[in-house]
Amino acid sequence: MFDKILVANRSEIAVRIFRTCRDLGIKSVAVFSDADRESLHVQLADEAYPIGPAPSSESYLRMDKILEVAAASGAQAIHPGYGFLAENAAFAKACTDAGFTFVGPQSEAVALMGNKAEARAAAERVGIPVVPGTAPIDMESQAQEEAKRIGYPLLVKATGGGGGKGMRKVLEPHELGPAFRQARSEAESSFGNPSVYLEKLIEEPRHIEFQIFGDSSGSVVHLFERECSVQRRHQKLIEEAPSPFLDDELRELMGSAAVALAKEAGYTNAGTVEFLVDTSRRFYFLEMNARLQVEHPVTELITGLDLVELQLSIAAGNPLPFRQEQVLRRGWAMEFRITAEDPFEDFLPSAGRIEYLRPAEGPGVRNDSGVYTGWHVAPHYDPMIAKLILTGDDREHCLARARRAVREYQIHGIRTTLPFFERMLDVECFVSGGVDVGFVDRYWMSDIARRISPRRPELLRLALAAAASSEFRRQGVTRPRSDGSSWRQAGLQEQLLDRF
Amino acid sequence: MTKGVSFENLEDGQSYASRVERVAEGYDVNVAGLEARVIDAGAGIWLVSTPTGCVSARVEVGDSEIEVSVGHERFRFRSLEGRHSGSRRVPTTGRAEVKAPMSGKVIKLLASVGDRLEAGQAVLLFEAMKMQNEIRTPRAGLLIELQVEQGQAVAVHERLFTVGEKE
Repeated sequence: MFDKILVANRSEIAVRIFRTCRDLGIKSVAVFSDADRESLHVQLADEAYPIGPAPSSESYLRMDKILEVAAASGAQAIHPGYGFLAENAAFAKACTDAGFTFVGPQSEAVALMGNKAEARAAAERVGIPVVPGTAPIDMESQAQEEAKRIGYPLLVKATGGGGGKGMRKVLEPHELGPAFRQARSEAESSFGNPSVYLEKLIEEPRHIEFQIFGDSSGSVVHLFERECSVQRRHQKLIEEAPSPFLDDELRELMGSAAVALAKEAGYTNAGTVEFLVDTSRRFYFLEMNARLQVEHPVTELITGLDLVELQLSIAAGNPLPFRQEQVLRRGWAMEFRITAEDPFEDFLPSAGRIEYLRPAEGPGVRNDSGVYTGWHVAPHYDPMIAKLILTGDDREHCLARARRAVREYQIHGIRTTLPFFERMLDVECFVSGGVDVGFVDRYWMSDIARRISPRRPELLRLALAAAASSEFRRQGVTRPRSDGSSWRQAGLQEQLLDRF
Repeated sequence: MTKGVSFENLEDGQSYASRVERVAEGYDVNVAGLEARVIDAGAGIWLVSTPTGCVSARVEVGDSEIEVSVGHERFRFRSLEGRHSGSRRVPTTGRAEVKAPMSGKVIKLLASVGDRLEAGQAVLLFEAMKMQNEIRTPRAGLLIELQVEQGQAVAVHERLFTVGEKE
């Protein structure tokens, strides 16, 4: 095992990795940008070094500076966390070339999985269904032919980019012509490239992914699935394991497919194979993520494994310590991503100082956080500040603990997604495990956000009491402010009278 | 010292009158049938105790409204104090800079630069938390500058407009 590792990341995930390092007696090295001088990950590392200004392009994405710090600190390995350089094949290679162990898959596997077309081809080679699609199409007549082959409903999608631009949904054959022409013209104006292709539309799909691990001897196992269908615009909000949708037969089928793909790619270390599953329980390969996932704790909690420890052990050249049949799961786990975003303002990021923080605690609660009271959430980085993770004997038990913990978790000073979770935990479709990936986008603003909490009338009275005290004190402020409004003047006079 | 403090709930327009008494530990408040002991914990955090419980609340005071977050719920109030004050004195010199009470969006501009405004006249329509409110000028004068455009998203405390006299 290593004596010292550097984590090329920040906040929650850096803290998470440092914790395992400390458990294993490995010294930890943090890097930080100017905005993160007092960050929790800096406080919890054994050593910490600056790598540049706040923008990540000038700090957390600077391979040269990170490698410089790694060399100067005497670290033997580099863990990239997730995001930033985690799936950058050039960084994986640069680490290895500079003599450091990269804690992740080898750079070839990172590159393969980073190329969507190649990853898809690899999946098809091992017989994993992919979402049926076509090569780029220029002629409308050709589109009609291909559409017959893949079947309706389908999507016309731009080759040159995403974000919904140059994308059209086609339910019936007669809609294809206009959709094809509109998508081409929109793709031309958005990406300067009119090229489009067709892809079968998977209706109301679920996002279900499998955690896999490979070692350098070619062994690959999966650690079961995670269901991540609670998403908003493709951003995951809640994840759970196991999936309430899979039965053992489908679980076995998908798990084997994930393992086969990882073997085909010669994959080592931690990875995730993502699938879409349709309402008829057909599954399609989506993509493979060559990194530790944000939602890895739910897998840890149902398998009893420490995935970071496993990553470090495999990176150090050790074989997987168990075979597939020795991987057992127990109970249920859910993760809630607490982000500094305002669910009532279209999830607008909310930077600011955390004035009060009281995390949930107690039985079945794990809090993986990157913040503390007094910490200023900067606008430069991903808004995720903490992950609230619950376990229970079964899903119902887990949901009960989630309701308790979400209510208990209090953050003041910034907006967070906690009110979203409080409401989702009362939504029948979520409680019964029936949510697909479009659910939140379809119902959040129009329906769920408008639900009135049964606690609201009582909380209103408490809010009024706080506001009244605040006003009372404010009106007694001795120094009138520049706007000189009348109540401040009156308050000033009153305070003076009170004094004499 | 005891004082009456009144609010309008900006959600439904309902008014609430409270009695606040300064006591050694903090404030004793009587509002909407609730008796509470409220303690200032600093940084806009207030601890509200009732005969049956205690919560932490965050109070953010903007130029025209007060926002309170408590138990994952958010409320917006407007102090009605100004209305009851007999000695309403609007400054006639200097400039008033009006800032966004919370982050939100400018829905519509209701006045143009150069307009002569009366105190309390609406200058723009502002949407926050999916609710629209008119933002008014606190003083009479010339609309010297509009720092925002229609449709613009603004952050909390970002300047919206400036009212005063030409120098």
